[in-house]
Amino acid sequence: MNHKLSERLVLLNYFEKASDQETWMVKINPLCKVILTILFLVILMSFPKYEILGTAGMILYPSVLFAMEHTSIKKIVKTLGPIWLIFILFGLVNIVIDKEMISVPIIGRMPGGVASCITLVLKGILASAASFILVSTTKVEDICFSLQVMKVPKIICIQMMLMFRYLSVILKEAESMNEAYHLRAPGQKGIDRRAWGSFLGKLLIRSIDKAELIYESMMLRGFRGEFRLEKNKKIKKKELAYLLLWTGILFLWRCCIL
Amino acid sequence: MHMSDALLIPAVGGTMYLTSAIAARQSIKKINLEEDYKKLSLMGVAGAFVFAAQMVNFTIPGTGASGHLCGGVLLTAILGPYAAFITMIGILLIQALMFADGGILALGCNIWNMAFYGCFLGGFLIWKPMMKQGMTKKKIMAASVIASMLTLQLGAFSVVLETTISGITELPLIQFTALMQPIHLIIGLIEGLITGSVLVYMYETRPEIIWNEKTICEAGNKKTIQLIFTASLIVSGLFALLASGNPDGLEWAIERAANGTEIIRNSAVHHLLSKLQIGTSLLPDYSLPGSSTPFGTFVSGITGVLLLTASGILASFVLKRFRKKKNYES
Repeated sequence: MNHKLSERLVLLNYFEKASDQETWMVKINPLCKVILTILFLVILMSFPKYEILGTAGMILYPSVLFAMEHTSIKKIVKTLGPIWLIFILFGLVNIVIDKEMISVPIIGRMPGGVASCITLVLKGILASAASFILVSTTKVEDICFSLQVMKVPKIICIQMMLMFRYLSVILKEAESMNEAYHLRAPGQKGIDRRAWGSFLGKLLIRSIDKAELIYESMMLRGFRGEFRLEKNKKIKKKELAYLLLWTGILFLWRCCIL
Repeated sequence: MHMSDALLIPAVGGTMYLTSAIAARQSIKKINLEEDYKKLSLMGVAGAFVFAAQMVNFTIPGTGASGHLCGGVLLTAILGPYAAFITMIGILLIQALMFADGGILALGCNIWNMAFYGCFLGGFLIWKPMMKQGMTKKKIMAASVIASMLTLQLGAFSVVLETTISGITELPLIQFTALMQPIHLIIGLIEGLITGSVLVYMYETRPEIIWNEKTICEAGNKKTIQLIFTASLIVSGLFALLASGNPDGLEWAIERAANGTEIIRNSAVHHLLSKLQIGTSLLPDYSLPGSSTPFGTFVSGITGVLLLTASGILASFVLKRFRKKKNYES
């Protein structure tokens, strides 16, 4: 249990560090990045299930950004690999069931199941890669800012920020409780199943108490249920050009494959 | 159970965004009415707890598969359905936008599958009626297990429907359902037991944290019914347009069992019943009589929900009258 949690924390740390770097992608207005990611996903998913060529062409967007950000392929595969397994599984089922021969442009005739399997796996890899780029180049505050600009209700954005910050409170409490448990029961592997309920219940109560103290301190410092996010993040001309360029390329490609 | 973008087409993703947004809008209105700023903190920390709990997968004994908590029922038992729903949206947004876990396009589906059922159905249909007469440890455990199992079943079935409507998998609906439901029944049971144990512990030590009897009695039904009604209208109307023209799972299985030939019965009773059915069908085959346009399908979906709602209202009215009469007589 602890191993999986620490793996996630390493990932969280990686994303936070990556989005703290001073690369050109990190500096781009978060709103542009969020809009572009959504647009990319909508266009990618709009390709029919046998459209291998159209789907494959969408590789341009993530590969250019990964190359410019010098993102390690190993890191991407390690992070996203488990998600890709689901697509492979669905794809294999399609191969078994759909045996009707279809003709695919450039490639020629092949069973429908194989074509839909390739398209599905490609879509899965590209969609998760696009999300990975957004996550690794944008800070939590910036994502919340762009969500607010996109008229996502304030309460949801505040919840996201609070949750993200309270996560460290919970994990610290969990760490100290875990240490206390193992000091009391030395040599025991993990936490006994019978103690899961009381352990988690105690953890939640301790975290609630700690969070209340933090929240009261925030109130004393003038917090009235609203975070002051940077308001003057206007989209610059360069950023607008970046957004329009990619939008043009993606739309053009989609129109070519119609 | 987080769905990825690749399992959907934009039309299905968009429809589910819309339905989830309607539910979110109603919930926000309700929370604003409460004007409890301190609740924000509780929502934040409870959300962070569920978020951390979702990171940990537990092994399903004897299957080789694993599952994780959904957390909708747990949050509802602490925060109440509306606040729990908003908190679940926050969790799913963080997972999608900060961990690339669950798709961005699939967010509407994930909110519906993991948050809507757990918070609203689990909260209003199971938790609230069971706790109305007071809480006990046994009731808490039973409500947690029933709510978790039921809502996870509905969530898993929604995943099947959304993926099938999107035309992503060639797996027939019945087989897909047969694969998804049993495994989620076990996950639901484990989730229910964990949720129940946590809540029982909290009930013993800090009962004031749990969504209490006072709040349960105050929580109105009217808005919830409106919410479920609106969402049903959208789902039935728009999903009807997206529905596949191919036979459904059962028809598919029967067609194969009969080697592709239609099963026809020529008895007098069959003729009579089929005549009666044609005469009484307002919208035969989910379309307007004599036409098969998408508009007809849309209208038939909406009409179905309206008819169901009307019969529900009529039934409750009759039941009320019957109860009043019985009370008067006794």
